[in-house]
Amino acid sequence: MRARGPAAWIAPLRAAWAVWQPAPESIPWDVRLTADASLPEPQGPLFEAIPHSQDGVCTLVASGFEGKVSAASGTALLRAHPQASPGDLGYFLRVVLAIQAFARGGMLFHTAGIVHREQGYAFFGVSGSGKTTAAHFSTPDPVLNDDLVLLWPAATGWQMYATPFGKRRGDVRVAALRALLRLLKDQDVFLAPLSPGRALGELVANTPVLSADSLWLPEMLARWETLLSVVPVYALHFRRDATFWEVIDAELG
Amino acid sequence: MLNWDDVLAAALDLVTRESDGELVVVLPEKGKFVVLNATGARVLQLSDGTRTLREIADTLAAEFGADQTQVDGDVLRFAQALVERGALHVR
Repeated sequence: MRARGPAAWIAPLRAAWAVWQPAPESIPWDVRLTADASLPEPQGPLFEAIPHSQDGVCTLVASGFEGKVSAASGTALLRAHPQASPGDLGYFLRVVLAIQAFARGGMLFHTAGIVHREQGYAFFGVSGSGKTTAAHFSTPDPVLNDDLVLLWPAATGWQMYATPFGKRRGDVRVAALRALLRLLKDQDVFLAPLSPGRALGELVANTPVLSADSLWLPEMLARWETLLSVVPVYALHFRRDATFWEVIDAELG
Repeated sequence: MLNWDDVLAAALDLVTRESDGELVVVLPEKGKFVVLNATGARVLQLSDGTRTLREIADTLAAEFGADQTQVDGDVLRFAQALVERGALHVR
């Protein structure tokens, strides 16, 4: 992704993204960030803006921001008030990557991606469900990212790629996706089946950006169903220790 | 609290997908979803802005040949849950 804009905005973004290697199939997108003092001052984070799509163009509008992402042309433009924070600019790039990945057959997924015995496990759930906790109790296994990973179809199954949007451990950048695990805090540690409908709903709810737009939802539901035909999904009941890996190794290892 | 003479309609932006006997209903912008069994899916389908809750329950009781009291309880429970999640609204 090639980003252009004021040096004060671009430099920290480049530093944060320097260690990240995108999925090889992704195409370079042209992202332009423009400071515009004529816009009203930001009244809140860009994160709170809801994306809207029409004819393949996604718009993000909030006080202090006007963003447009075109999947068809591979371009993205954000006009932002000079007081925009690095977090706002990073969020815009996250939106661009989510749309770019989806347009190319992949998906950005809200999950902790952990590589265990060279297999990728996606621990997912709503905020507070325990993604960071799962990553913590997986030391020293590599963590592709403790918040967002990129899922990409492969010749057999799906691959899970690191992203620059959260905390990472180690330098592994990709792993074959072995299982999806919906985190549920509990006193006992065990894997339980999820019904296909429940799994589909949970996965869509954890697909950022695109799940807020009815234009993309039908195709996204179909894509998750395709993934679920080759990757198992379970509810993982776990407590705050590393015993969940014993259960996972016994049943999936 | 719903009344039997309430007329229910589905939210315009609902996206649904049938999956192995369940209906996944996603509410864009709210970031929420609900999974319905056959009865719940039929309640949603019949909530077309013209039928009262009473008419929906009577239709389901006739279709499933089930006990009216049982169906009434199920329909009220499903309808209430769908209203609370924003999938249905009262006209």
